[in-house]
Amino acid sequence: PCPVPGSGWACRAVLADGHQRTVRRVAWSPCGQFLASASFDGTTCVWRRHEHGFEVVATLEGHENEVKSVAWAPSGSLLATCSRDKSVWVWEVDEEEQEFECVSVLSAHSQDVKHVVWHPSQELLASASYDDTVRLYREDEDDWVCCATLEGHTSTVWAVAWERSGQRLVSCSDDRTLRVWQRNEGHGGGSEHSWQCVCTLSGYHGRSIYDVAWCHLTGAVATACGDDAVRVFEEVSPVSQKEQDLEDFPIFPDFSPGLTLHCSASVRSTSVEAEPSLRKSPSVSFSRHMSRMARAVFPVSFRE
Amino acid sequence: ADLFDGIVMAEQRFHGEGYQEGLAEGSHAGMAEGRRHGALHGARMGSEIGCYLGFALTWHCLLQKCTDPKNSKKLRALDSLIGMIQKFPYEDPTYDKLQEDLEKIRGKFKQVCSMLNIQSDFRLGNERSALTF
Repeated sequence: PCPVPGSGWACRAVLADGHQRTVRRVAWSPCGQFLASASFDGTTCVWRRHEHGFEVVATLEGHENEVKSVAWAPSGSLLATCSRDKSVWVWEVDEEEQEFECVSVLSAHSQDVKHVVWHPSQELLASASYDDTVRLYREDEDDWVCCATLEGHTSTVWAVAWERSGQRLVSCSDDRTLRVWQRNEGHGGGSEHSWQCVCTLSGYHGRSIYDVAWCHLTGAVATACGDDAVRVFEEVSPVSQKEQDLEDFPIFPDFSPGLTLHCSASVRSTSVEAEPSLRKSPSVSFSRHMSRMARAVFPVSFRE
Repeated sequence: ADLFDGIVMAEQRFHGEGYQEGLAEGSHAGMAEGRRHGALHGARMGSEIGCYLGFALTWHCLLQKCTDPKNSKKLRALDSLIGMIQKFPYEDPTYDKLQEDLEKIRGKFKQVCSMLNIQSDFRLGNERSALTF
């Protein structure tokens, strides 16, 4: 019998023996049978679930210091880890044998790597670093290479999130901005793509932005910020000019209020609407190459 | 020609001559120090890559004698490492991708160590510190 959502949670397992230091990130495999845990002790444990709990099936070693993030590729056959040692490791999973083999050690970043996340449908990996860049990696002739470097942030990039289609990604940074990057089709043959920053959102966040999530159902982008607020952004097409009843956001007369928020989380309204003092001329800037399809992204207030 | 020119301009002249002498001597000393620094740095790099090459060739030899089917992936990785090391331009210190290629070699070495279940920072005896170049 399925538990009714929200009716309560029970602690099923405490896995206390896997790591010797802080466990920084956990990730479920796409099939749901495995759990990966990344730790400051430099290792990543992979746990397999069975009837009575979880057992370690592999301990991935090799990073020289704290592992900051771990992520499973959507196919379930690849795992990525990143560390303060400035490298990103890609591991191949043999589900039957439950063996993990390192297929590449990528040292493209010049500083601590904070976050790794896989493309929703392709074997394309993104990483965010203290070196202010986002890098993308893919397999090229039996070896993994860094195929793109996204520069633009002026401080640590804490996290990255992919849009459902995988054509765009959003990055959040210590520099208090969000940047949306779009893939351009490459010229000539081959699978080379270039990425461009098509939108920068500044002035909305009062402190560093530590995490960002792009909803694959609604397209909404949520951020976690050091100023104690959660913000949700949605795209609008800059067409409607009639609706101007937005006392809250006088700077954007094009904002169309006809949007529906699909988020169901409840948030204290005080923590969502940025106080006037923090709203120092928020701005949205676009690259010259923005295509017709790229749109302005505006914040929406939570209507409870 | 002013009779007193030699005396009046003496300080300026000595200043200029002194500067030129100092510049020449400094350049010479700088060149010598730079050469020593470069030699040391180059030797360290050579030592590091040499270590990886010896390691890779030995393991290649050992694994070839073993008929375990899982070895093919390991051998392929070792071949890749050996290839990268052999392609490295030792004669050209001005090669623009020097650091990049060196990082790739280090990354490949770490990957190979992971596949062979060897710690890449192996210690030689308990007293000595971890492998440094």
